Amino acid sequence: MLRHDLPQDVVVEILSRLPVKSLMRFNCVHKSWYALMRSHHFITKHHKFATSNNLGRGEVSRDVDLLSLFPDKIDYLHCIYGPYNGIFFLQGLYKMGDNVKDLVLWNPATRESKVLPEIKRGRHYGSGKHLCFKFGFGIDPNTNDYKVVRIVDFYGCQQLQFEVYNLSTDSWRVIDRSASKLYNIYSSRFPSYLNGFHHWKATEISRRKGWMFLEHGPTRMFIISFDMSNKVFLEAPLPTVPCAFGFIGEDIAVINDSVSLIVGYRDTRNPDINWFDIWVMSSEIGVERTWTKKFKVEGSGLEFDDRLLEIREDGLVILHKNDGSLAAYDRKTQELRKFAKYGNHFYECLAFTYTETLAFMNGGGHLKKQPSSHLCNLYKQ
Amino acid sequence: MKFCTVKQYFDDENNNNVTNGIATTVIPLPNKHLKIKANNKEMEQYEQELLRNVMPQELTKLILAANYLNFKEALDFFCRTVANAIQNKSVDYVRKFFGLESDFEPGEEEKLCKEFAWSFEGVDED
Repeated sequence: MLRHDLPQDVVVEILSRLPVKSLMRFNCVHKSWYALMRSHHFITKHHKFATSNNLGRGEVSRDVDLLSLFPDKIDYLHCIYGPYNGIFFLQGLYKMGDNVKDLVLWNPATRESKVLPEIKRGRHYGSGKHLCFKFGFGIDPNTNDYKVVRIVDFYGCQQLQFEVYNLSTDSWRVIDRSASKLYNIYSSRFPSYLNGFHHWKATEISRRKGWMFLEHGPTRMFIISFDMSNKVFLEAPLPTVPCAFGFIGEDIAVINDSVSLIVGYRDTRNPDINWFDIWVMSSEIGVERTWTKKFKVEGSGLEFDDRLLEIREDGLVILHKNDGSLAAYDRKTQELRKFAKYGNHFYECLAFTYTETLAFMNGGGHLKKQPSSHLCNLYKQ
Repeated sequence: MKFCTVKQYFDDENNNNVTNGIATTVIPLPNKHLKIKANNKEMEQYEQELLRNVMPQELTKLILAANYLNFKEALDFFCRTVANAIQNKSVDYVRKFFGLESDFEPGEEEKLCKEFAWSFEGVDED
């Protein structure tokens, strides 16, 4: 076959264009290949090709029992976050009890999963305190490290507490800073991570002696943005959106690589008429955030709880409808066309854009000896 | 800009990296690329045509030529082609292809094969 005279960098060029399934098998070819696949440089290079390669590749879909990824028997899957750089973050729940072994990172391409360690309860959460947890998942773009953020929300009794998990250290750390006001944070209903920041919608709680209640009048909503590498907070009010005639709700979402606000409406006089206003946040760093109403998506067949996935330049809006089907809505013709159906409700299945990654989460392999290879040495960072 | 190394090639008479036969395949590529750059489908068809008449052994010479000439598009194309050709092949096939021999300890390779057993499904027969 080939003579053994291909330069090492050419071999790497070939390998970085292979699907993950092939690479996992080729771990067995040679120790230098095993080591190469765990090098940061190769993983990044491979993911770049996977991202830019528009051809569908990889295996045909298979059934994965997500509940089996959790170490203890959980009752149901509560949330899926991501994927970012090919990894998902899953949160499982138990009907009873407060066991925190319910957080998992999952790489479907390598079929590897990692259970996050328990978070040690700090002195802040004594028993009897009302609190709940909200999460975020993303990447630190400076180190390419995967991070999970857990926010402890005390319903306005005290400031939010932020804890961050780093995959590289496999540990949690409590952040000593916090957002400046007393907030109640909302779970992210849409992907909310972009370029190193995770965003959440929040309401400011007004606290009087012994009581806590929301401000009177129209509720003022805020966006809290957490910078995952520098661990700083940016807080800004959300735009005041028109509330008349059937305002249902608003969600922060990252769509088309911008931080957006999706505001859903349903006509109170005619519930068949639903529409969305999409506001987009300015993205310049260091400039005060401004919001601009960019799109209105309206037409028959739309429902206020449809999940918007993508707004394309050709005028198509891709939606995951509340009956479980994937649909394309044409803004020019105002026609809605369903093109796939999975399950009967979007709670039964979720649609994602996914690109494979070779990233290994449980670190290290089984080999005891150091691999003796030129390929490995070339790509050590 | 693409042809600076070609001049060097012609000046260097004892060049073993690029034989005359290969030069006739690789060197016309830039012109063709420039002509039909806009149309991806046409490019794909042209590339498939090109490779239909090339034997696997020749492919390594083409890769070396493209690498030597620092011709990125051709190198990308040839690497993609090799990747597509080997992606469903067995571990033994790939070893022979790259001229490698297993350097694992006896137990280690078995352990790995077991750990990644799912990746062996649907592999082409040798």
